[in-house]
Amino acid sequence: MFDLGFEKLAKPEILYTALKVVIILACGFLLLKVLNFSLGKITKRRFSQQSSMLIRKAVFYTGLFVIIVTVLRQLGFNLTALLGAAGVAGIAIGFASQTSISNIISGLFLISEKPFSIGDIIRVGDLTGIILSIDLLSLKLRTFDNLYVRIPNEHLIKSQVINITRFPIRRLDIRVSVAYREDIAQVRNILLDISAHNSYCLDNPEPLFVIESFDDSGIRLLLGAWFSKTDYLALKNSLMLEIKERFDRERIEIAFPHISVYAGSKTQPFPVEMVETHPGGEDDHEKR
Amino acid sequence: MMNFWEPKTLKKNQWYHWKIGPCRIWIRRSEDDEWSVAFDRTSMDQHLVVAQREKKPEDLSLTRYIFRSATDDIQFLPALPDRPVMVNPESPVNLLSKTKAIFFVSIPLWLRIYSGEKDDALLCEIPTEMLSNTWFGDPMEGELCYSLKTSALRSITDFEKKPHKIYCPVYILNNTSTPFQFQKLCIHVENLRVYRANRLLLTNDVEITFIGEELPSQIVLSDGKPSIAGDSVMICEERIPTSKSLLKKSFSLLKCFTNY
Repeated sequence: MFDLGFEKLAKPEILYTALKVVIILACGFLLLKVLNFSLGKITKRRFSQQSSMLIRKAVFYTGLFVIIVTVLRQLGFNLTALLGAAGVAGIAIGFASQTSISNIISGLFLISEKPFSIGDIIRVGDLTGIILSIDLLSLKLRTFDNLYVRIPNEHLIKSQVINITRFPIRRLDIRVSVAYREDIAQVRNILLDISAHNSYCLDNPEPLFVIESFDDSGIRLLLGAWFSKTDYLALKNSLMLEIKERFDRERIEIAFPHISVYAGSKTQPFPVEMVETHPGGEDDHEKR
Repeated sequence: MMNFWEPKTLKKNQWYHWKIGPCRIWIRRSEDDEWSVAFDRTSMDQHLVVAQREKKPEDLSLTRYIFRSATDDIQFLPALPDRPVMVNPESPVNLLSKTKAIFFVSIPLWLRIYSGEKDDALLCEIPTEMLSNTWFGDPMEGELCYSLKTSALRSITDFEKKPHKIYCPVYILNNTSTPFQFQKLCIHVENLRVYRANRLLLTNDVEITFIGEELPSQIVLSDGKPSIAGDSVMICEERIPTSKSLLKKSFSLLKCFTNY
């Protein structure tokens, strides 16, 4: 029959060591959990959410390292030899994990620079979302259509990042083109009146009105309305609606792309022929 | 005016109507411990109407408040807005050097509706006028305020008395050697109390000392009754006690420096 050597395992010394390891692991993890929880409560009050998370993670991983080293020593491993081997392995791992290390270093720079923090809304490329967490390797975003996005820190350091909610107020720029025949002074008064009566638009800073350019089809105007950063959607929808309704009421033409054909003062009037269409789809002109 | 602020007992299942300034309110007490409140701000006249039995308009939505054990009494109390108010004089006001002047700012009140007389039975708070929002400070840092235009009258008797207004006496001293043009003023009304004097509602005094363009003005809120109405009675405490807010401002400044 096969001898699996269970009798050797049943020796008192081995059992004793195994018991010690189990106790160290159990007590160690329990202590780490309690410490992590307590730190969370203390640091949340005194530090930002980001700093609190970093402190807890640092303490947790340090504690984990201590537990692993203690367990290994109990099991009789020679840590000096292990560290030596780890040094050699470290070089190999270093080459293989350049990207990860770059992400970690980028993460540290991001943390020290503080261009954004948890809860901010940022735009990276064509992605806009709320920051869920800022970790050592990556940043986690939740987009407004509830997608979970992971962005490596290295990408963030190299890209333009727009922090939409950094400052407490923002300006909404609405561009509208009006026909050349319109009275710009009247349009200006109407736009500023709309801003003054909009409950989301701030009185100060005062709304901005600019005549931007004389375009092909109309005059392009800019209305810049300031608002509290939480009111973006409410302001945009209400302003756009009010502008459309007011322009319709005042018979102000919003310019649309069109081309007027004109061949000079000698041009004869263009001939216009009225054509009747039949239910079959053919018109009289085609029949002739 | 006095009756408007006194507690009233209402019969159950009956709509009652009040009007203060542009704000019209309808309240009903049901058989169960429930209050229904509806309001609008469409009144064109500025009169006060006290407890008329009048049904709420059909198209007006209401809000229901349910209590464990409510009383049959209702009480209105005036309060100041929940945010600072940025005051703009209708025409620029210039104060010459070493001149002190008093101005009165009329602020639309927030109407607090209590079930009974207890502070913890507040049903709701209704602004009698909707003030527009504005920002006091620069685009990077400041505070959200309400915007208010004022005629900055010099005497309380110059005002056409409106029942839904609280009058705030502001003393401004120009302690510099050059004239000072008072254009915008931010009054932290959440630190002010409301007093009732005869038919008027007043706040405690606000004293502002202007000491230069580059230096913050010194603002002192008087602790007692308004100086122009020594026999007034306090009917509403400040939303935020002054000492707490000053401390908060100091710590806000420290927070800016340490970034914690």
